Amino acid sequence: MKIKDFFRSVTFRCIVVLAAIALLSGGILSLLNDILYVSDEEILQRTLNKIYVDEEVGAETVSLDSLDVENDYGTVKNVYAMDNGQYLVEATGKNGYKGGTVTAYTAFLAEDGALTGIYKVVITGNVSQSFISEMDAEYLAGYTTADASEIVSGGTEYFPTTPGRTDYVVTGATKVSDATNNAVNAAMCFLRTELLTAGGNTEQEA
Amino acid sequence: MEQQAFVEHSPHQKSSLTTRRIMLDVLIALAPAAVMGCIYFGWQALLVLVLTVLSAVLTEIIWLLIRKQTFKEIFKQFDLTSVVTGLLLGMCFGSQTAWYACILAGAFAVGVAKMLFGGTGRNIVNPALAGRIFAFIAFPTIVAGGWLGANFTESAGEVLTGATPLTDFLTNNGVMNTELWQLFFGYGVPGCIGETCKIALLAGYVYLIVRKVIDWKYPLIYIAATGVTTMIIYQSFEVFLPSILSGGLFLGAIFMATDYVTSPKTLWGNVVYFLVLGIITAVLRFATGIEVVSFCIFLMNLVTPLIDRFIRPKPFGYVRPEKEKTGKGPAKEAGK
Amino acid sequence: MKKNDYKKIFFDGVVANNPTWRLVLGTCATLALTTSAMNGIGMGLAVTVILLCSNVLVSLLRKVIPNEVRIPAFVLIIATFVTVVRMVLYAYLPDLYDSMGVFLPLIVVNCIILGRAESFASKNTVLAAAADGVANGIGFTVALTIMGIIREFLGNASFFGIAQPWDFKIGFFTSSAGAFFVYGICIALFNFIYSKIEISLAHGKARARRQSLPKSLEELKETAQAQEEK
Repeated sequence: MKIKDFFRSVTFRCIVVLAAIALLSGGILSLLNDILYVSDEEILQRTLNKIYVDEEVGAETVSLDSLDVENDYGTVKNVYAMDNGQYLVEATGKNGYKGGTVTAYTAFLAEDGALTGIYKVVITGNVSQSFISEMDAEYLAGYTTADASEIVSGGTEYFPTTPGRTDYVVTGATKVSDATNNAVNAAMCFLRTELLTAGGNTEQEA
Repeated sequence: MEQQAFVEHSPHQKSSLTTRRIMLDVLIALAPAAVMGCIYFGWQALLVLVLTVLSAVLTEIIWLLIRKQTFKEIFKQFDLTSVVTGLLLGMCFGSQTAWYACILAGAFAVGVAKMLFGGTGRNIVNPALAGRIFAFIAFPTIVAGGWLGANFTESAGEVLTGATPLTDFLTNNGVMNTELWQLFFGYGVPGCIGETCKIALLAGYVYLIVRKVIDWKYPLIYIAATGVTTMIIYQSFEVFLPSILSGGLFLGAIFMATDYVTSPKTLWGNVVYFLVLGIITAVLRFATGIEVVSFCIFLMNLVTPLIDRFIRPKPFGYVRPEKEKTGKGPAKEAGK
Repeated sequence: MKKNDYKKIFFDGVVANNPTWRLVLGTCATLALTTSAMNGIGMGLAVTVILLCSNVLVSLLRKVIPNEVRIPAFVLIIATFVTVVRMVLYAYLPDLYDSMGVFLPLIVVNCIILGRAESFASKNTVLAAAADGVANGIGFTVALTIMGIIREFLGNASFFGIAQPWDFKIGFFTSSAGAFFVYGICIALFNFIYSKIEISLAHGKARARRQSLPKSLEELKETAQAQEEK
């Protein structure tokens, strides 16, 4: 075909129309993205609202640069030192159903550089855990009851995950509760070994 | 002179084989197992059975009333299929099942799995199994949670958790902790109401063969296939008897998988059906660690039309044409 | 366009061609998002907004888009609007965004939106396409909400998130098996009701036609004369 014929053909028109729509929508979307941008602070604030439901608590990010965030139970993603003395840790626990993971925010109560209890646990994500809905509010509240503080205050134990246990497990969702327990365990292990070792809070400005 | 002519249409000679008679035979065959179940599990078991039978029968009657039939018509055409469905459903439950679960399961089994599809003879899956699976999904903790210890044992009346011999066997990787004779007689064994006393089920099986209701080969094929596949999976000869004597295999093989409507129509079709049933029961038991007989039979019920499509019955009086010496014979033969 | 045409478009969209119950389109989103009534309403409203916008834009561009690339062009347009809705929801309604999960971006390939764009918006004027979009969206929302109410009530003992005084939950209805079951029963019931509506409408039309016929030979002659005089 001659060049002129090409410019008059249907193919050219198709390409032009598609390119025009793509460019136009790309432009509009980037504009809207700037307008409706949700910053990281906003995301953190939303999680804080889920944990500290009616109060306003300030949080300072703890730098994780020189610390080992991997341990036997999972990985720690973020640590925040709260204004009310608590520590908020976002950790991912492994050994879930089909080898997946559960990500949870755990708020720990701490006094004099030692953990004394768990204030709240909120699950924010998971990888291939189809029964994640079984980890309901009742189950998560189990972490905060008086029995849990035996494990937490000054102790060295972790929430059990081996098969055959009778507590901290939901029948029919054993592996998912494994991963959830591991998320809390990873946070506990990190705090005990890395952050609160030398008997004092190590707070650093973000 | 007036002549009287009687005009009738065929069939002119009828045997006594009616649906009602066959269902009565099945009920008689189920009776020993039901009685033994009530003896082992007490009055709660009797309550469960009564509730499921009542709800099944009432659902059918209410359905037919909504379809504007009169009471007289209903009672004239009442074949006992819903009674059998209710009884089988009840025997699949443990004696700890709550009353509302029994009633809802009975209504679902007859209402949805049977009447919605067109009534007797038109269900695509076994209605008792549909009801059991519905109850299993809808009320998992009640139906499959803690089992009541059987009478005559120390733990009579207590609620044990997940401790049927089958689940024990599967979690312990093929080691059966209950004695074989206990499994066979159901003495002191927790489980569903109808499945524990194997000898009562065998008595029912013999009765059904004598009355020519079921074919003796098929349950044997199913049970043998399950046992052999379990032997292959666990790589030992010792697991054969424990695997077939535990769980609902006998009840499913004798009474549920042999349902006329949902099993294939030909000899070889049935052989294939029961063989595959045995294999997938053993494999799924190993893979999931729970009692899967009801799910496997349900699955194979859905496959039955496929089997019937490929393994066709020989038409009455059909003679296979001779193959010619030269060239090929007729393209596709209808196999028996 | 005459008012009757708009009435017909709305009736078709909501009742006669209800996308969920009559045409059985968009079942994936239906089954997944009827677990609660709020989810159903949220999904329905999102689809309505996107239907409206994409129908209008497709109708505006209907003379410009060549026939050979109409499907890619529609998908581009729909994807743009879905992304806009995603960004708005993430910024202002994060709870709804979380509960919709992966089904929000899946609206791009929802058969309802693509189907209406292909069969109606690309062949009709802008106002008609807009009306059709809104009508189908309303039909979809109503269907989803009703199924969501049933499933939430029976499976979770709550009504729009408000827990009911009794604690009797039938877990079957929140599972996917229950989704199919409720969907099937709703289709059957709606088609039953619709067949009755159709019959009564047909009766009404037949009666109207009978009344508009001339009643006697004289009347026929009169109307013929009146026409000649025109």
